[in-house]
Amino acid sequence: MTTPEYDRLLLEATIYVLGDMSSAEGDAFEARLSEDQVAREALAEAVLICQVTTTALAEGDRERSCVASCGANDVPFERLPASSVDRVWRRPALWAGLAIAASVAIVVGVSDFGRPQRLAQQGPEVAHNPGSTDETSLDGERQLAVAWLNSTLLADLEEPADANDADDATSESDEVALVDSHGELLTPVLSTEPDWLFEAVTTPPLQPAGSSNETPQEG
Amino acid sequence: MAGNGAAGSREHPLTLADDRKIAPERIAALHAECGDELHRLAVGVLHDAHLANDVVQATFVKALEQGHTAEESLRGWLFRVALNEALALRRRQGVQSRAYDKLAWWGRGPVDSERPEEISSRREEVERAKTALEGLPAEQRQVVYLRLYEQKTFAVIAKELNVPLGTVLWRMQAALKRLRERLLPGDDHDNP
Repeated sequence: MTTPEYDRLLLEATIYVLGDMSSAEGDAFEARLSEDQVAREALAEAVLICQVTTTALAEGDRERSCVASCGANDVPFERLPASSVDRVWRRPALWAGLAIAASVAIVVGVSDFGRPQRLAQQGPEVAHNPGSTDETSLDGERQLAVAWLNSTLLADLEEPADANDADDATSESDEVALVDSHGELLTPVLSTEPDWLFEAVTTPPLQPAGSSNETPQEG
Repeated sequence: MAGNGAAGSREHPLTLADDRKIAPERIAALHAECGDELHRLAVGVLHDAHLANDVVQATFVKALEQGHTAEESLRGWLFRVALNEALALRRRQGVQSRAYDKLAWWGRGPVDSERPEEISSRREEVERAKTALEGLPAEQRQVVYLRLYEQKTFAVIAKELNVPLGTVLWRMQAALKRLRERLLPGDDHDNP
């Protein structure tokens, strides 16, 4: 235990050591040092405390920096934590998902962009009744498959992802690119899909009433 | 008995001696007992560890050659001699500023700091300081960090923290009290 007087004296000595006194204050303190043994001992203690504490702060700087991100009560400074938005944007799976979504959008967009020209080239009857062509049924299947892929990818992104998930998403991206070429290449994708999707894909699209006499095939 | 008298005198190494001269053995004991403190006192004035070594050496040379006649304890006399030597050396060296310069003396040990026991003792002090820092309230630790490690003045710290200067000084005083209790246990100043 120390007296409040000695605590103030130790602070004064520390201020003197650190050079925060004005010239007049320094002279006054040195005059006191010449007469007061307690002040001299306080000065020696102030030097010791400053030296050792500075060394401790320097050695522990790295540790404190690490702890700083955990809690403001354990660190000299309250460091702003990294934004949660930043953390989300640093997730590899999110970037992979965005890349997949962009590639799917491009594939679908390019496919739809060329569709009017192709219909026009096939003739007016086809253009007026597109539901009777095989391409229309393939488009329906492709859109269902793409929608299902997007839903599964979004579900994966909502879950905590790791590097393996990102790899899986990348492989799924390759499958999406194959879907756009030919209908039969949908098989690898459909092999993992649920039954309801298999039925939806294999069932021909509904025709407007009276536009066709075809009946849905069983099986 | 003469032997008892000699033993009794050794039990009070820092009290006034009847003789003016101080025996070399006693000088050596005094050096071991308060050499580090005298060095720190000189460092506090000079901000230079090497010059502080010279001050400590000059102090004990003076004690050996002249003895002491002052009406005060030998310890107090040594501290006063060391202070005067440091002030005189500072004048001779033409040191104009008392400004604290970290590179000049920060982190340097006192005399004989290369001895293994000195190094071990210093390590223990640093570990105790770390423990004391961890036990400080965050606002006190913050002021200590900003002043001692980042070398910002108290006025700048007060401005940065948007608190009065008195608050910063109070936090520093409270932190110093706790650091001292940890670094210098049993060295009380209840009766200064």
